[in-house]
Formats: sequence, C-alpha cells, structure tokens
Amino acid sequence: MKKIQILALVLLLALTASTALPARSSSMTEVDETVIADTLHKVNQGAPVNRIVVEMTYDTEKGTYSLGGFTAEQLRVIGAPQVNGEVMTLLKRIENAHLAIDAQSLAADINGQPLATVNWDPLSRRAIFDLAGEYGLHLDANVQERAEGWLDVVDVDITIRQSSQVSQPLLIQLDTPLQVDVAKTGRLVVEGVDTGMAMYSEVVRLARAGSIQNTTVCWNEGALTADLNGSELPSVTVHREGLEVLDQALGLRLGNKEPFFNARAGVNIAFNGSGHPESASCGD
Amino acid sequence: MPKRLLYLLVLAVIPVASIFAFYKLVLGSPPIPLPKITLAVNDARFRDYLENAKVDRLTITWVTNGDVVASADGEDLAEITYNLGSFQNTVNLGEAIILSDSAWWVRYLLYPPIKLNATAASVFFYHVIPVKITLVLES
Repeated sequence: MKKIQILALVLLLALTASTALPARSSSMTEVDETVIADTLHKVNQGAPVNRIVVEMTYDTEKGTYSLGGFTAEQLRVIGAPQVNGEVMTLLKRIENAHLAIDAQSLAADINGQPLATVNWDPLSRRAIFDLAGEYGLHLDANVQERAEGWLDVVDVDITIRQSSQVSQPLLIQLDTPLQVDVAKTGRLVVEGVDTGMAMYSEVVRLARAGSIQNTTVCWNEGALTADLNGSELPSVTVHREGLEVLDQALGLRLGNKEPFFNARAGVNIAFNGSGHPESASCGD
Repeated sequence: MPKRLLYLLVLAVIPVASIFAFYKLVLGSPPIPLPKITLAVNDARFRDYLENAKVDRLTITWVTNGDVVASADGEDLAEITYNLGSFQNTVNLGEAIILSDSAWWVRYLLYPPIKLNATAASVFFYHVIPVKITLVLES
C-alpha cells in the first residue's frame, strides 16, 4: 500500500512541477470509438501496445456510476465499493475530466480545459524518481525499472463524465505480461509491489507438487493460452455464447461481456523466487 | 514360411493397406465418429445449472487429433485445442501432482506401464486414426 501511495505522490509531484501547455484541441468528453479501432489496428500491425482505455460515467442525481461498460450493480457483485455522498458532491462540480498517459507525456483536462501536461522521457522520469527518493520516497531499482518498462510503451486513456448512460466498454490491450512473484508462503508481489495478499495455500501446494517454477497465462480476445516452465499447454477458446451460458448457469451477472472479447492481457507468475524469463510475452 | 500362407497374408494385407491409404491420402484422415454416449446426470446442482442457463443438454465432443468442444443445444461454448506436445505437457503436470503423494510401488511399478500404453494410444489416435467421441449430458 505504501508503494502505491508513493507512486501517487510521484505523479502529484510531476503534475505540480509541470507547466500547463496550450489547450488541447479535441473534446475529451467521450471515448472515441476510433481510439479503440486504432489500438486494434496497431495490435494487428504487430506494434507493441500496452493500451488501457477506461471510461467512467456518473449520475449525480441518482448517485450511481458506471465503469468500463459495467453498471454499479454489476460492479458491486465483484466487490467494488459504492461511491459515497462526499465523492458525488465533488463529482457534481466536474462535468468531465480526462487523463492521457503515454511514453511522451501525461496530460489532464477538466471540463474541456487543459489542467496540466507533463512532457517526459526516460531521463526526466528518472529525475522524478530521484526527486521522490530525496524526499524519502525511495522506489526500489527493480520497481523503477519495471515502471520505466511499462511507461515506455504505455498508452492510457481515462475519461470521467456526467451521464446517466452506461460507460463505454473497457479496453485492455497489453503486450507486456504482468510480473507476479509468489513466495513459498504464498505472498503475492505484483510488478515488485507487495500486495499484502497471499495466494491460496492449495494452489501453492499444487505448484510445488507439480515442480512449477514459472508460468505465463495470456488472454487474447477469448483465447486463453498458457505455458508452464516454458512448455506449451493446450489452448482454450471461450465463445461469447459460452460465457453467456456460464454467466446464466452460475448467476455471475457479468452484464456486458464485450470487454472480455476486446481484452488482451497476460501474467507471468514466478514461484519461489525463480525469476521472470525475458522471453515471457503474450505476443503472437 | 509356406508359399500358400505368404500368399494369404499378402491377400489380407493388400486390401487393408489400400483402404488405409485411401483414408489417409484421398479422404485426408477424417475422424471416425463413434456412437454417441448419453449420460443422464442425476445431480440437483447440475440440473439447476442447466435450468438457469436454459439449456437442455450439454455435449462434449472430443476429436482425438487435438480438439475438444463443449456445446449446448447446438451452439459452441468453449473449445480446447492441443497438439501432442501440449497434451504430453499436461499429462506430465497431472502425473507430477497426482503421484507426488503416492506410494513408491504406484509410482515405479503400476504407473509406468499405464503411461506407456496411454502414450502409445494417444499417438495412435492423434496421428494414425483419429476418432470422434461424443458425450451428451442430460439432467
């Protein structure tokens, strides 16, 4: 948790230290469908993409919200918290807001007006990390390295806006698998950050029994592929009808299933400090 | 070997070899469908699942040259595809987990011949004559 707070503070420092640049020309109130089409095109072209497009809509009259194409009720099923009154009061003052992060810049708009833009590159990001370190917010070298690896290819687009409509479906297209380390005790470390959570002991026991040191699991628009210690496993394809039947049979109330079939993401799990192979990827 | 016996042997082998060559080269070795197996599952939870999903029957079709499909009322739900390598990797993982707590005689005496036969069968049904096994589950 502390490291997440540190990351948030680093971003805040960067925003504070930056100068707002001239107004962005385009309206940022809605996720443009061309953004999604552009991402899918890049993926089809084989270019490395770590793209996340998230939209949140909120209805301050009714006090409800929608995130990534899911309604508040659907999100509550998976444990998402309700938005409390204070947050809604704050959101009432914001018509819309937009945050875009890529390898070159971080830009924020509120109500169509530019708030701040930070132009950055690996060197300036290193300077931000060093500055944070000077204030006692030291990030481990491996965390910095992973953060830099992500920021170098990341393309994040976050929009929030007042609307009673359900938000646009979430788009996740990640070529870089998340690195997860599982200690002997089951303790979970994601991208070098200790989550404070632990994997089920039964899973850890099975991994030990199966001599599993490393596994990569990738989800690509309905297809699930995996390898174990570098050896390929059978692939599973889930059809839309299949997810629909599973949803109804188990009463999962997943709602809009489109995000699952637009998503591309993966995870590389290393057990007992076995390390992550450089070759681990979810690309074709 | 008496000439007559050799002659009979050749007579027997030639038609079988011809049929096999026709099956492999002309037909492209399509999987041979085996009779459907229908199982009535008397389990309340399974019945609830089918009722919730408004599905009458669940069908699992395994084509032994690398494809397992789950379908409901004619619609494909999910599919598992494998090759001999990925199949063997899964078997290796399964045996490592299952045999880790077993007695030494199971691991070293009982299991090896079973594995040899199972591997030979999987290679035969994958490469030589694939078959299609259909299992229909009803409540």
